[in-house]
Amino acid sequence: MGLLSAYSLLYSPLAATSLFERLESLGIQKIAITDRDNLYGYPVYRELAQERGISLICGALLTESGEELYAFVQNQAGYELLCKLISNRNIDPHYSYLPLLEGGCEGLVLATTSPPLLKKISNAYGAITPDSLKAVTTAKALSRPLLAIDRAFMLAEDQRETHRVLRAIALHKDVGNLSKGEFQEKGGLLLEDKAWQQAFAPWPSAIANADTLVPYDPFSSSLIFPTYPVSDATEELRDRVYKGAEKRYGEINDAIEERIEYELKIISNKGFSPYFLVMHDIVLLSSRTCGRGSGAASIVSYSLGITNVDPIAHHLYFERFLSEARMDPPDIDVDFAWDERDGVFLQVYKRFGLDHCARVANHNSFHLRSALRETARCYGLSDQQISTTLKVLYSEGLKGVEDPIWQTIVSVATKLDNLPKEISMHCGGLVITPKPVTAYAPILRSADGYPQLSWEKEGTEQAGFVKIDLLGNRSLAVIRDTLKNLKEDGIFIDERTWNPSEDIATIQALSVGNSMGVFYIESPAMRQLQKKTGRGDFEHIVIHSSLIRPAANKYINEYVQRLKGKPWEPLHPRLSYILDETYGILCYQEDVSKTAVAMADFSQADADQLRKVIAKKAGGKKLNKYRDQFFAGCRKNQVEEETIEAIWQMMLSFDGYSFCKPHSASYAMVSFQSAYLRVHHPAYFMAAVLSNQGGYYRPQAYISEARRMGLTIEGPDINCSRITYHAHQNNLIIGLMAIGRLSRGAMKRIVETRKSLGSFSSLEEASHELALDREDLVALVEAGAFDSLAPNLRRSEQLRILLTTTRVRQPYGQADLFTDEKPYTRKSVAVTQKHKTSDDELHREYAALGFLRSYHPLILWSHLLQGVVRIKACDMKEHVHRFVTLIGYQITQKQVLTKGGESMSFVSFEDETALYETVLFPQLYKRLYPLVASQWPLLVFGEVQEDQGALIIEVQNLRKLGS
Amino acid sequence: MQPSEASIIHINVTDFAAAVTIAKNQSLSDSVFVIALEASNRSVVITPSHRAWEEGIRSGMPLRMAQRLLPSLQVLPLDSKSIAKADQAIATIVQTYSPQIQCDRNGHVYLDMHGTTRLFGPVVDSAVRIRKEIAEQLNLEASVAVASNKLVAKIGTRTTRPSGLIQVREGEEAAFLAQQDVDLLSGVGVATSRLLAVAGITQIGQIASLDDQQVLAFLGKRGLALRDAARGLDKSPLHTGLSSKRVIQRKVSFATPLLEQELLQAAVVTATEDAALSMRTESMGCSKLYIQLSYTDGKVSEATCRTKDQWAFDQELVQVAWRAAQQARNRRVRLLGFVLHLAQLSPLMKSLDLIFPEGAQNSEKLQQAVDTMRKKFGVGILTHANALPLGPSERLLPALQSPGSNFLI
Repeated sequence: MGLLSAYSLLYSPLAATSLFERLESLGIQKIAITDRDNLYGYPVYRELAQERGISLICGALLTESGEELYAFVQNQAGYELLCKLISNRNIDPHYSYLPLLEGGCEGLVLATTSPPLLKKISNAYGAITPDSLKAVTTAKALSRPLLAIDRAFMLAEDQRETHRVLRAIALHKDVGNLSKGEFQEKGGLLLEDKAWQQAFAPWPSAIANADTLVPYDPFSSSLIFPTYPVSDATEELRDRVYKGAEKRYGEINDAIEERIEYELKIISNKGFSPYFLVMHDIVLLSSRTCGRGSGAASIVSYSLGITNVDPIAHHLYFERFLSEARMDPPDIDVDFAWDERDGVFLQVYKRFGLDHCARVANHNSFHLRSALRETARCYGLSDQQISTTLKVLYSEGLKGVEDPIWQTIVSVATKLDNLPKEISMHCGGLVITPKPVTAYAPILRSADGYPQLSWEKEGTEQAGFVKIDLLGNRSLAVIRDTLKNLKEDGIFIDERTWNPSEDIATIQALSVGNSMGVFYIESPAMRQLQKKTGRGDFEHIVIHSSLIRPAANKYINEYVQRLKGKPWEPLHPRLSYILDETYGILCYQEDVSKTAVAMADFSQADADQLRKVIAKKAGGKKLNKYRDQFFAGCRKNQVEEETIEAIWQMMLSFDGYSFCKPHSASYAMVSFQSAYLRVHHPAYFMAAVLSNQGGYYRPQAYISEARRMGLTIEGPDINCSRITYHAHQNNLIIGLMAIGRLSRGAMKRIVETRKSLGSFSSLEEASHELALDREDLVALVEAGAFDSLAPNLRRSEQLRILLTTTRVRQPYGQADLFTDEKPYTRKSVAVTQKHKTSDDELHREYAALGFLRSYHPLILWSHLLQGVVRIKACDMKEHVHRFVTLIGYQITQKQVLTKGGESMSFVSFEDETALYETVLFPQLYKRLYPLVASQWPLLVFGEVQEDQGALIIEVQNLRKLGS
Repeated sequence: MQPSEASIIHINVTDFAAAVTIAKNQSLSDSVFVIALEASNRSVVITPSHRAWEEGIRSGMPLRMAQRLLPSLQVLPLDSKSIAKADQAIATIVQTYSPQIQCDRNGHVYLDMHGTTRLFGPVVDSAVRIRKEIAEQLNLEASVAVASNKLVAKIGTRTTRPSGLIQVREGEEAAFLAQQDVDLLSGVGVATSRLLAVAGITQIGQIASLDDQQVLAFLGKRGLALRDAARGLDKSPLHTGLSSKRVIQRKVSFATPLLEQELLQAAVVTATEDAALSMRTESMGCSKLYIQLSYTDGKVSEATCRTKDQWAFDQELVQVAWRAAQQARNRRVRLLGFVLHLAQLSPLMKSLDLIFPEGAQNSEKLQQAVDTMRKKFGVGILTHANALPLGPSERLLPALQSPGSNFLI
């Protein structure tokens, strides 16, 4: 009774698995784990207890002014009361449990070692532990029964030092500074049966009372989700789905109807209709959404507008999402435009009530590196000393470290590895509940002040909550902004009939890797794959976006070769119908499940669990169990050993992140929308990409790409620029947001003043009317924003005029402050002359914008470029298998590890003509990486190689331009 | 030629921390290294060596970036003790030339040589000699300038650094400054420098020629002071106030690095009792207590407690000292030792009360009795109980504990 595990954060060094292993070995049948003021670990204990057949009593150790009160849950009312108490304490650290408990504690058994608390709480037991008998006298005087409590938080004495370090971490102290009450100097050990019996032998009633506690599992067997306020949710859903399907398909044929009915039946049988109705309401809150995950396999979701990909047309596997056999709740993840998502959360809180919503938590654990650092700090080592020693430790091990204190540090840190450390918030998980959330789980307050559950995704599902994931996505905002900008210019795209995946020009562009800025498929690796395959159709984009993942690298070349006609046979005839569309290669998550079912007769539920275990890199016992099951099943079906091993290895390539086909298809649809806009409305699209930021590349790369696409780059300009980038016909107009040092207030004032007064006709007018701060004027002048008003003046002269003109609300300037006379006369003639930018001005412009308005940045090094013998990047294809020199202005680089653990890098460069890819193998990368780390243009010397139609330079040497 | 009356010398040892490091270890003279405080993610370069500077490493650059640019870059810790010593040594050299010196830290010293011509000859000759002595005695190369005021002298050393000598004759300040880069002017930081550059103002003379309205428009109210500086106007005197006020000091070094709070407390109590006894022996009290803790990574932290009245008795001083030590101990790093100062000493106050409060009388009597015993049998004969921690203290505090300490207070 009353055990504490590492979920008593930064207190107990006892991992939950170790605790249960010991309990099992001791043959203990019933336990109560009572973590300090929380239930963080309850779902984990519950699972471990079920696996071992141990009865678990839910409980917590409530701390009250340094005293301790044990609370054991005996029924639902007790659980709800405990959740309420813990939630109150989480929200207000000074909250006292006593007032609520004094009013009654039905369903909770309370026990305390503290005589004062025993006096205050009328029905509490006197708790006795092997380390504390101080409640005995008071309990006797008050005629209260005793309860035997272990209060163990360690398995062995050698964990004491780890406990001490955990306390030091919690209190931001070093171990020498901990005062006596801040850590437990003795006791707290889990006793063996004999010692336990001996400890409590004089108080047999205390043992008997402990035996009377009843294990109660508070987790709901049914799913927790609010009912929808209609008389018949199923009918309401059916109605909405058919209306939506009519919009989507125009006409509902038999196949569509059959699929709708099939899905509705499962949804209805499982009681998920309200869930879909709520999701429908939520997606209506935003301008556009994109369903991610397996939910995109549902025609119901598609019809409701939750997802945007037709599951019938793209053969999406509904059972990956929902099936009669699977017990877990549906999991629809929806992306919203990144700048709308927080608003959606607020509206959901408003609609369902803040008390009825909570975000899902993340449990962060110690990892060895962080544990070593934290522990070393507790032993009084400075960051510098730690960093220096860790380098030695990682390369030579403990034998290379002189200070003996590191023996202790390493020993303790190893014990901290994987212990839970703190609670944070999941990026998008949300639960909605019919009763206030505290009736189901304790909550805490998230960093942004909203309610948050105590549990991670798995614990949340175990507790019966139905999780909704609302995530942010920049590309949805890119599409939204492009369409809006087009509409302003009179170009309207009817999304009801818009079918970008059928557009030939778009398919053609994607087949040659022209996808910078396009959602999800703009990385160099993806563009190279596009070039190699020469396929840009929807089906192949779906495959490619699933195939580009770290663990599947080794299958990519094989895939490209097969796609280009290399003969291949399925690994086994049973797999042909599953993997034919992906050329015999396991590509999607559900391929793992399907393969397990087909080859080894797995049930749907088992196959899905296998997929999850592989994806979580769980390894260990669980994976071994499934491996044995898979091998045994295959053998039973007379599959050869070699084939089984090959299939199993391919299945293991799904460790880490991987996607299901519905997810990839859903994302591919967004990719196609982006790509369509890039092909047909490039200026508008690139403006939106630059405005929404956060793409794979820096703005400079997109500006260069825009130039290569034949767009005219304009601005930033005091009369034309908005805050964000925008486009007009073929012109991309740089937004004021590109000027790094310009304040947000100045941007707004420029736009607002222009709205009320119209365009500025002179520097004097702009200065007077805008009345900007000196720093803002400097930033604007540097970026060339006033060039159009005074093309004949150098920017330094522009600034002098701007600064010396009297500005409204500014006390500086030459005009008389006491007259109403304006220091300018409005001109009517628009200036069309172009400003001639000097070298010095170009350098300042580059510093202000990060790119140049009218040139490629290499012009800044033009004096060094003269006389360099090189080829242009656009001519690379004429030099295949030859050694060449190019100028390289770095765009991006990706460092990867070889099988041997060495670093190598793929670097994307560009010159004034084109973007090109290079590879630096380990030896060279080790020598040259400082050059790659700098932003100075380089001379790139190497061999042009062609791999399946994609060009890449294998670098032989790099040199700084001008060196 | 009109004789020069410029009498201010400015000595500037560029990248002082790096220069001192090289002076201590000549083998580093051609090395690419930086001085930086911590090897954490956010640490920055304090000073690059000249060779590192040539490779593009600058002060204030994130250390990580510097290491990425130059993987072979050595990172050396800041050697505060050697830097302080070098500062002191420069002060010692220049003190023989003039009593009017202003010792700023990090290798910056001003001398007012007014009236020393008869003793040492022309001021510029003294400057040459000082520069030579610094080089010969300390292995440090200095940039030295002679001018009529501190401002011009300072800009002078900036024009010749890392090493050299320049003289700006009186009356020629404006002409000298006119051609100099605006960034050499004190008060021109990153933002002002950018503004001036965009406005096409690159030389100090351009600032000097601005009229009042332009200065206000370009630089705001503080621009007027900057323009005065650009015209070479500076009347600021040398801050020659060298503190020579007496302190009673105790320095404690631990035999092995110390982490335990109880042991630190024991050492602080013992050192305070010892210092306080010396203070009372001289019939003095103090109104300031200062403690500086030194850590194993070379860093120090400090704290000061002050009173408007006076501290004299162990009872109050021990409490104050421990409070100061706790306040100073703001890092989770092992301690090497500490320095304790009892400062702002003044004659022991006689109580003016006609009727002594009972408690105060007793305390005074007790203190007198304790002091008598200590003087007779040694400091350690009577001490506070918390000066004798249990456990492994004996191995850590041998220097502090008297073998005869038997009585506890």
